[in-house]
Amino acid sequence: MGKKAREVMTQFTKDRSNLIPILLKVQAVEKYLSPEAIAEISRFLDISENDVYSVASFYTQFRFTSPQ
Amino acid sequence: MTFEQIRRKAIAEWEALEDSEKPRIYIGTATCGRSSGALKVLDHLNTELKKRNVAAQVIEVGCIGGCYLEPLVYIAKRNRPRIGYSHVTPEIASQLVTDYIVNDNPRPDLALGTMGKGEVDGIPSLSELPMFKLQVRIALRNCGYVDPGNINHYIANSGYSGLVRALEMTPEEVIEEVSQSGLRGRGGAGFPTGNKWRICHDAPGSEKYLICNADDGAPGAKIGRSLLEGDPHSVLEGMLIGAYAIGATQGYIYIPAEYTLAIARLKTALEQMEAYGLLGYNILGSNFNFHIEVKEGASAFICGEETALIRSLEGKRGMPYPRPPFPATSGLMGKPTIVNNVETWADVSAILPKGAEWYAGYGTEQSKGTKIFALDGKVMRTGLIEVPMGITLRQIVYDIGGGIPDGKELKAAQIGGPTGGFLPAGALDFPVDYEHLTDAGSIMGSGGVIVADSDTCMVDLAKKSLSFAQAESCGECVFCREGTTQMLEILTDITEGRGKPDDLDLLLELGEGAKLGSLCALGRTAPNPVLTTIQNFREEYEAHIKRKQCPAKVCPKLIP
Repeated sequence: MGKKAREVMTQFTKDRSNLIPILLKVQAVEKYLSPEAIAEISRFLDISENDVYSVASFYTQFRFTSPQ
Repeated sequence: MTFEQIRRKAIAEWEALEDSEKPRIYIGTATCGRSSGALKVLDHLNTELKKRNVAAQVIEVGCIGGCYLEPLVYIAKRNRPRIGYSHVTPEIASQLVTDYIVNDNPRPDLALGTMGKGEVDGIPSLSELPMFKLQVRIALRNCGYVDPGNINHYIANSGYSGLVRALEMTPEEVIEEVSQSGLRGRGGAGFPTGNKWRICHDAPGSEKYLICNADDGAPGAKIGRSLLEGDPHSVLEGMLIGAYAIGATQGYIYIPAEYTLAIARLKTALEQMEAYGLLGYNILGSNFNFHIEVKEGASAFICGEETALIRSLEGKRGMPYPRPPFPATSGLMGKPTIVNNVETWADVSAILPKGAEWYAGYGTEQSKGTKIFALDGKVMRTGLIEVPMGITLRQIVYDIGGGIPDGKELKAAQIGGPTGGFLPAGALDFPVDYEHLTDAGSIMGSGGVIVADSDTCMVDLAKKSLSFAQAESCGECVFCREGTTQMLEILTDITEGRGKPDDLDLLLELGEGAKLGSLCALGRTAPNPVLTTIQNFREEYEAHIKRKQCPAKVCPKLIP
């Protein structure tokens, strides 16, 4: 995850209810959710990567590959 | 400052504006206006006024509902009503500056109508025009009229007086007042709002939550978005009243992240409330504390369902869970939670100042008050309308909507969004309220009304509606997930000439199965478009299946 996305993420409290807002903001900065970003979000919120993927893959607007 | 001082200050500001020497130009810049080019007109107006050194104040307002009229510009001069002009382009805007603002010719040829007190020769009043005449604007009372970015405009138009009245009552009295008004949830299910609040109020526990559901979801029917863009305080005041009644200290607004303008308006509104002591601790000097947080959600149609919404707010997949327990006793984080949608909250803030009796004076025996509908499809005048419950479909489509374009006939109307049933032309004189819609196999749903004309193929239309619900199914219940997929396959076969004689029976069986076997309203209503079209337009299905013909000549593979 890039520096900017990390800054955006760390503005949130480490609360699971912030997962979707964090995913939205990180994707807004990086245009997609990279495996590294998922891993960092998982560490930040202290939930498994699997859990982060399960939520992110439910909502159609999240992308896991770079749009380029 | 006490509320009385705030109110006096707000009224003074509003009156000074209304009474100012400088002409005022109001422009509708909600999302619907923007998509018709309102921002270009706004930019152009600002540069034009500057270039020509004309003193005038430009104020952005929300949408009055007439989406087909956008961009809408209103010009007001001292002691005269606002004059509305529709379909304004930068060129027309320049002409209006020259003709009306500089040379005092209001251009009745271009004008649509007047708004507010007073008359102007040759220009009708907006409220007398056919699209507004039958409307009763309660939730939409301020949309397109006040500056949504200015709390003083809201307060000067009796805003927050409902909260003041509520704080003078006990929570139980507030709940009783809302019950008496007959208000039912405007999110579609129509559960009596007062009853829901009472259950939550009586639930044990000191920690309770309140949620404003701003996820419109359904394509086209963006009623919540329009209200939040045009009059955010009416929604926020309703939330405050609800929180006081049930004893919640924390509220959330669940809003799709792509509603950027509505989110910006909400955030401004929340800051203004805080500055006036209308939010936070000891609201207006009472011992009532309440905080509101805007929670941006990912878009999914299913998240309009209250239990899915709660899961999404908790940072989980938006999948419904079985009720009971209802959220009113066990919702967000397992605490008692009230979920009401944007329109319901805007109604609450209108009911408190004027009283239950006033609100219950509109509507029918079982369905009180008004409802906002989003009129779309093959109809002359599209947009948002607010009408008393019990109005007939004919009044909605013909009187307000102006009828069907090109002199065609109405074939069907779908009420309630993509999972609503299709009512045939024979149902035109039937009152629109919760009970009658349910009887006819439709729903109040999102409040979308889609009109289909005589050129429409009902099988194709049912297929399109179903394909939306099928794609949005969260996958939890087998009947919804697999049933809608199978139904869609059968419909595709029928429209492509592979229909079999027993397909209709199979569709009916699958549809009834999904209605019975799904946890939430998405699955329970998804088959409506198919079931109602089979019921009302069976011969069209039979033509597709038996004669391999599409009578409306829409399905490409079945045109001879």
